[in-house]
Amino acid sequence: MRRGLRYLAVLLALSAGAQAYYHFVHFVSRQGPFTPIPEKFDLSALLNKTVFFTISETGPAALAAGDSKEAVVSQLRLAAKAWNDVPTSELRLAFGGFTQPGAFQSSPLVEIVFDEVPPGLVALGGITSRGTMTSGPGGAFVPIQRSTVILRRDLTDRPSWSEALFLTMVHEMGHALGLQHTLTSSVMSTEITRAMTKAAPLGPDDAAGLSLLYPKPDYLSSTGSIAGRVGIAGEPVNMASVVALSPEGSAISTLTNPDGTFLLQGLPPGSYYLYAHPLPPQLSVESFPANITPPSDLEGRPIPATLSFETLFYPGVKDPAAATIFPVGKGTAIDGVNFDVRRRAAPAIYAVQTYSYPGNAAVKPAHLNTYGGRNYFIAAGYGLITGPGVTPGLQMSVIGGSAVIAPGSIRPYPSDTRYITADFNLAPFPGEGAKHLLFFADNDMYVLPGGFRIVNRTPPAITSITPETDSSGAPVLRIAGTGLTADTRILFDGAVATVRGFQPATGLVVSPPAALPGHKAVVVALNKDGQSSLFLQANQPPSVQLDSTDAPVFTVTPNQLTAGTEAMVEVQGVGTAFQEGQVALALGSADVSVRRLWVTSPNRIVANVVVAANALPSASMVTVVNGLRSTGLPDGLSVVPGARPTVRGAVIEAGSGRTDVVPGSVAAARLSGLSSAGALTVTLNGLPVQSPALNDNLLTFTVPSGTPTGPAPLKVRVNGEELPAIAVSVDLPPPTVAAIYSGGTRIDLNRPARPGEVITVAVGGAGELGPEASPSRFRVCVNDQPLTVLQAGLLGDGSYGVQVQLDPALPVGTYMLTVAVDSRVSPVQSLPVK
Amino acid sequence: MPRPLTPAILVLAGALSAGPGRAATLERLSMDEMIQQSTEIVRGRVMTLGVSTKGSVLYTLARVEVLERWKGPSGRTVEIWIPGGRSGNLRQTFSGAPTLAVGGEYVLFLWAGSSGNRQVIGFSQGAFDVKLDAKGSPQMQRAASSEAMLDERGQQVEDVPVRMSLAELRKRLKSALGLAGGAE
Repeated sequence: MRRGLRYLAVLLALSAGAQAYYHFVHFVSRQGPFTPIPEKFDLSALLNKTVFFTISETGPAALAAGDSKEAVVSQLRLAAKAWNDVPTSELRLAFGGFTQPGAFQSSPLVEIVFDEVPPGLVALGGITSRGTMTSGPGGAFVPIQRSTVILRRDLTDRPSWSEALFLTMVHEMGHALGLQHTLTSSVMSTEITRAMTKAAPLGPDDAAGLSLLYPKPDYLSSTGSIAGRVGIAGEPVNMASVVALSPEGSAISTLTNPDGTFLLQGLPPGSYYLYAHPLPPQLSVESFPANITPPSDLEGRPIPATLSFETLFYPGVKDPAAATIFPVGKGTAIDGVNFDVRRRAAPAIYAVQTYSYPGNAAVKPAHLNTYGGRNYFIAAGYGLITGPGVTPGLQMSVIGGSAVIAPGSIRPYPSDTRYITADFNLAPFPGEGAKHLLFFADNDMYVLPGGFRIVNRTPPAITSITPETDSSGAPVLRIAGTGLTADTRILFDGAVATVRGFQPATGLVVSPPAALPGHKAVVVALNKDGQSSLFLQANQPPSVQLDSTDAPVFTVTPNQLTAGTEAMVEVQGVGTAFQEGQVALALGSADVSVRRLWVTSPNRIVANVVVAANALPSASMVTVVNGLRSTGLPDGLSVVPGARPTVRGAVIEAGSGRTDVVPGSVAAARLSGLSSAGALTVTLNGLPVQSPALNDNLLTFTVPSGTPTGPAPLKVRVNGEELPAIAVSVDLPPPTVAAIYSGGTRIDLNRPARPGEVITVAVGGAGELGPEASPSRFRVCVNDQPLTVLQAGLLGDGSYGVQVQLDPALPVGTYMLTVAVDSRVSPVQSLPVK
Repeated sequence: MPRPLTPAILVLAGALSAGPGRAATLERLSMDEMIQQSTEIVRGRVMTLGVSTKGSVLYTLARVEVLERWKGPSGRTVEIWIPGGRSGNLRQTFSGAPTLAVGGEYVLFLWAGSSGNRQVIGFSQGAFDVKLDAKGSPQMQRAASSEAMLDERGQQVEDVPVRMSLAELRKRLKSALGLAGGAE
């Protein structure tokens, strides 16, 4: 044990100040130092910083009527995508295939199993195996070796398309990644404050929690922090929740350490109130308050939360109008924000949730529409109702001024007096998004972050789904309805359809995902404002039977790889109908992973595959997921032991470091495992390359002019020894922004763009995209924020015109505009706005 | 004033919201549902706590001395599987799992599937502390769970606290199960 303590002391000396958030945390001892040691995946041990999630091949034993295992798998992949899409986190999640529960894997992973759980339990998840405490760039941590999510085997009562099962999947995956519960309406919150929807499953606190565990290099410098302490008459409060509340609607939180200190990191630039509140009371037979596992000491003994206290805004007030507003900028570090709170037996109010009724089904949280409709909400929670009526003295207000609650209007909800309702008056131009609620009773206050949302349009609804064909004869579906926009995402079960076009009068045209014969998919529309067609169509969502060919078959070449090598594999099939953006290749083991994948035709995939050096000899199922169709090849890929030289890492363009090389440029590849240097032979796409050279295991060569774009096999032979072939991504040069126009007028300093204006970006070097290029091929960003592409088409000079509308609220300034064509991104172009 | 919604409509609440709230996501079971869906109902005292594994998951095994039995095959003890536990240096916690203490007395609604492993129905919903009331009469009690609670359609509902004397429970069990007495 002493040895362990010394080791820990060294680790802590190496560690930077770590955050607490709501992670699974350890401390060296009960006496301190209280530098949090979180449990998290060790990104340095993961290829591409990617954690694989595997799904038990047995799958659910029973499903809801019309449901399918493919639909469940698609929803699990969509849930993983929610975490995958956090831009400030380096962690990535990828589908690793179907495995047997508990199968041995030497690499860290998340396993999803379907198991026998008793009635009344839907799912559970958590960390099931940890490594030895270690140190990383962010400080000491306990590496997660394995996390497990258990879903009930019988999903008869849980349709896979439902918000309920989807948010359960997202939540349990959050636990698997190292997140505990929060009380900020995020998906990781308890049901007390959770207010997420399928269209917007993660809140700012979820993104911050994940990003603090797995930060992008510039995350902490691009956000700010607030530090301080919470105490009762000088005594520290452990596990007080401290929340930074933006009047604009976000909330980011942390927990205090046993010495009462807190460090609230990951605050995007903006203004924040700060408040401290206790965890809700621990309930009978529950393990901990709010079921948040408290930090533990080295012996694993929990350091419990301090008893309840009064909730206060800083500096010790209950009126947000009297509270300090903290301006936070990039890299801002505010310290000394100390709360002196008063003990209280229990909070007067907690567990509040709000609902509204845009249709006949309730929506949580309440959504209020600025354009009218049934604009009221009801709320339920502990402390709102006492006996037959509203708790005496109960007050309620909205933080931030977006709405006002009419004085004296709080009353029991007529149809069910367990609920309260109140009259709201929206302020002019209240702004969209989450808004915070404040409750008062019995000299205590309760803040409900994101207690309701303001929206500017009605929820989407799908009225018809019509099969059509596009100009090339390919099948498409026209999705017509109300409330649909160019930004609307269409789900077929859990597969996001590729949008081919949008007209306000006729709706969206989408490419349907591939599916097994006879598959009937539930179709759901998701809007950017967090609303979905399930708001109005929860009970009978529309569905469509997807056209499909017979069950596809495929082969994998080569089907045997050596441990510790990287190699190109080719998946060639019949009837596969692979679609770009819809395909995932899962190799049935966390020890064998895909570095990069290309869909080269409807029947062919090329992938660079990495085999862990410590992978055990085995044969595993190869699964190709294409849209809603999962096709398996038992024992499709074998790992064999051995020592073989290999290309290590992606082949890059030597000058730019890009992982796409341009014909005529010099490419570089790192080799490893060479026994000796010697005669060098290099071919790319079957042709000898010019001027190959090998120095210090770095291979350089010139990419032959005329090499077609796409993955080109690189074959290297050194001293007679052949390395496994690897695919090199050959691509066109990046596109360029030739000019920006508004109407026929060129945008420049003399004629800046205007907020809300529709502009046309002329893009050169886009490639051959046809006269009416799909808007989905382009991505226009202003200061890294993507804009909706309204339309795109070929201009007279061979460039493409891409039309977007600027944000009407865009402040005056000069912005960085970029255009991406597929994965190629243009250099930055200046965009003046006035 | 908006159109008041009927309770039937309220039942639809949470089709959009019935997500997770805890490490576990629960669906609410009424007392009658627990009585009907459980395979055993016992009052018992925890004798020992052990541990076992299933796949990658640790389970705490609680051996319970049966003091009274209202449903299920006879037996003087039952062994209950609860997710999470500790084995050597390996520790697993599934927040929301019921916590049973050695020596503690509980009323337990248990369920066993095809594996035969008994589990508490509805996680903490099926575990009730047995305490004496002010008059010295035993009663079972459980506070409302703060877990995410879903109804049978997967829609979110609130849990309610339960407090019931054992005499009342016996009467209710007798009515629901048609028992003639049958305490063990």
